[in-house]
Amino acid sequence: MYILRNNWNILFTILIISLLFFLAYENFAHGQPKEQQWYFPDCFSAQTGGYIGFIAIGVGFLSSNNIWESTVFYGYCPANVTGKVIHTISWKNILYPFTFDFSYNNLIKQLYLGVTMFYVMDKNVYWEESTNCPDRYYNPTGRHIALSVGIQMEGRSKMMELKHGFYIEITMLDTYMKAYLWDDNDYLNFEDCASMAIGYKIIFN
Amino acid sequence: MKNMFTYNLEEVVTLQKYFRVYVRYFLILVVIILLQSCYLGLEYSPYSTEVDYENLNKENIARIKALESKSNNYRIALIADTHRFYTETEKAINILNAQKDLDFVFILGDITDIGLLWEYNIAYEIFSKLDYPFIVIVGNHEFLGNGETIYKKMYGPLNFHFTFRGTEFICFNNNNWESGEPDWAWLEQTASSSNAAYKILLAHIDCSQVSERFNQTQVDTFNNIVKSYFDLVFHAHDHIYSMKQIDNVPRYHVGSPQNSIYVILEYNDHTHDFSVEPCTF
Repeated sequence: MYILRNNWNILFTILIISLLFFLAYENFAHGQPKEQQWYFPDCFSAQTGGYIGFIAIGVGFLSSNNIWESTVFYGYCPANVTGKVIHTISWKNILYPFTFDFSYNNLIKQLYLGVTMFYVMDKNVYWEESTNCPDRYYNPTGRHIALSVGIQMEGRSKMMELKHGFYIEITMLDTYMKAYLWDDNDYLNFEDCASMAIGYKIIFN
Repeated sequence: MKNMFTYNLEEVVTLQKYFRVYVRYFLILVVIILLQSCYLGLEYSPYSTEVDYENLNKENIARIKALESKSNNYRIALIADTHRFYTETEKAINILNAQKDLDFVFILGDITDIGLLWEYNIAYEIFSKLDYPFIVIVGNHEFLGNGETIYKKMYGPLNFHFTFRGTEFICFNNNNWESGEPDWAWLEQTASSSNAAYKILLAHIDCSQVSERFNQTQVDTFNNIVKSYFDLVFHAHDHIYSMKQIDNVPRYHVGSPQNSIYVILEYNDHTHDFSVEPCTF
């Protein structure tokens, strides 16, 4: 009950993501046309790194022309990795401006640009104004934006009879980017400020 | 009995196909691992508190105490509010390193902007270029996010003190908005129990006058303790150098590298005089 009472938002997010995943899989397994169930997700993603968690799972929706994807992730960091348990909810939006098709084995390579907004659920951070200080004394510490550029490789799995793929991206947090770009710091290098994310995706169409 | 290494043509074709698939994934994995290890790391969360260095203040106090001298003279540099002024801070560090007669350096807080581990690590990377031991005092910005946890792991307690060549240096956390009411009892008890000839107080925020942070009761408490026990007081927080005297106790604001300023504190054991000199660069 303690977990339920204190982490209801985390449990709620996991529940919604799980529910959507199973709905999507059911929808896919029964071969129902996607257009009739617009609210069923188009993909399931698992990611590590990119500031959103040691392991982050999410469900995503693809636009009808497949150039825009929007995914909601729940990310978890165990205490032995980040010093304390960290829960993150993030919303990742991806634009696929370039797609390279390879006829061999239906392999597709896509270059994408991404924007991720994330919220950290921790008693030490605040999403709006801090209650202890005057208005606008500090910026909110619990929400951030990260920009990313990545490559995704998709193929059709014969075993699962659906599309799946790997992606790898270079991502940079707004705070780090600000320090790198606008604070006139000759001290910082790109590799001081950028991070990497690796993910796996199952696509239900 | 069929030889286990004998395959028909169909099996060979299937195996070749699987082999190609696995080679492809293996190569992708190799590229990922190479990229990760050679260039960028995976950062799981900016709110991580998993530090690489621990108890740095304790370690540096041990180094300071190990400094040998025939007299009680000392020369100390004080800088503060380095935040994200990394280039300017590095410049200040290079200038301090060029002075060969310093004993150690105080950094009077606000080494980060929002208390992220990344900021702590960059700041440490720069401070560790100092040729001298350095002591980091907690500032208000260090409390944001998980910054307090990181500070405690990386540098140690928020309130601490040590004696060096006859002077008691008392480092006090008075960031009241961020960490609650300052521990006035600890301050008074520490100052009153010290047998050192001189006592110097270092606290990030100036609480000698009523402000939006400190009410009259807090100001009176602070000023009474300072008047009773201390010879010098150093603050930071406003990024500019200033000096004032209250109850015959000189109180200095150490500037920030943002404004190209640091302070040198010198004690002469023959004349028993302190001198505080602002230096620009």
